[in-house]
Amino acid sequence: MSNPNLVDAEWLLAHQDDANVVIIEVDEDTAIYDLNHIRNAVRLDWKKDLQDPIRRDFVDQDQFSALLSARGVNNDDIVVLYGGNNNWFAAYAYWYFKLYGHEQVRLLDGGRKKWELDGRELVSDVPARAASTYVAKPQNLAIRAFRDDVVKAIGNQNLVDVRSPDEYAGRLLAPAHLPQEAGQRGGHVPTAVNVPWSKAANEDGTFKSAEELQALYAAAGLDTAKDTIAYCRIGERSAHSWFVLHELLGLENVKNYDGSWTEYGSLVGVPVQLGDEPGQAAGTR
Amino acid sequence: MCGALPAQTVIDPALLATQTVVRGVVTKDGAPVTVGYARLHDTAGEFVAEVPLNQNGEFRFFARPAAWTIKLLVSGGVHQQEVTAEAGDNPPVVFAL
Repeated sequence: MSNPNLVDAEWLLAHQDDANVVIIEVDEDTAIYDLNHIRNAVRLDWKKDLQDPIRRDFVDQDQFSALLSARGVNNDDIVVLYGGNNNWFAAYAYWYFKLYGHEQVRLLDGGRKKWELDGRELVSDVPARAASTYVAKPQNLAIRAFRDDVVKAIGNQNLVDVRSPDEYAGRLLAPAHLPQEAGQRGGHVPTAVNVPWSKAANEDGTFKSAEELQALYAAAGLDTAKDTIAYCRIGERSAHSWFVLHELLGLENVKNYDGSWTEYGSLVGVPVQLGDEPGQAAGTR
Repeated sequence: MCGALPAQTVIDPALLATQTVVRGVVTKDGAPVTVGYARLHDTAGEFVAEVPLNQNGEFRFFARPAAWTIKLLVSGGVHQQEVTAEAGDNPPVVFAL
């Protein structure tokens, strides 16, 4: 689809050597970059670079500034993100860049998968970028939800669980390419509708058309007059859905809950709904 | 904790015993196909997960005992096989292109 927040391969090839364009690969399997990547792309490691090493939270404003300075990113650069797994972690990084106020961020439609399947150039050379002086802004909490926001949203706002139907219903605890960890409760937040992230993507990883996306969420019962919180397991798939709702469809007041099910499903005393139906706000347990 | 294990990672046998593993291998003219993606769908056709092929042409999912469809995306085509998984490890699904 055509959208200012998306670029396609032709755009990237035309701007691959532009001084103000920084291409960044963000993968779930962070070793993939070492194998090969799009020429001139640098790597961000979603875990080592973007997560606080001790407590469960993001790196702070100063740490993010230092990270992007070391990667040679300037505040006015156009950052183009791409990655594997249908851009899950690239979308997560996109949301993260927006959280810290970077203006010009784009996603490569289709990500690494489409690029690879189309037989486009991948290289192993790591580009040398001179360090910069990047200054991150304070977190924009208008796009980030915390656990208390989710509890308050039950029955009041749109809650969108973007995991697979088996995870939503509580039959699986993790996506099926990961071992099924024990220790969390299965299920979903009561009243959350299930719109798996994958329904927003074509088989080649590109996003569906705006008309298809609008129809998808309308069919799920999303009330666009209400605020929305998207969640998944750790916040990366829901960043993909946040991108769809906020950046492609232009809905306001959409937040990504990065604590997601690994946090909510471990909380004491909150309601959990099992099965394929959203459930009710009251009377659930 | 959260990220994918690289597909070539050796899984602890004790962990494997608690999982339902759907795995496979993709070859062409006897050599592993390393550029491609395996997609797991349930019997309703619902997409469940996707993994890239590793350097040995292999893929692996941790699912549940059920019937599944595996769609293979490779450059120039899509291939598909049905599989019924039981608890534990399951024989590899072979795609010989």
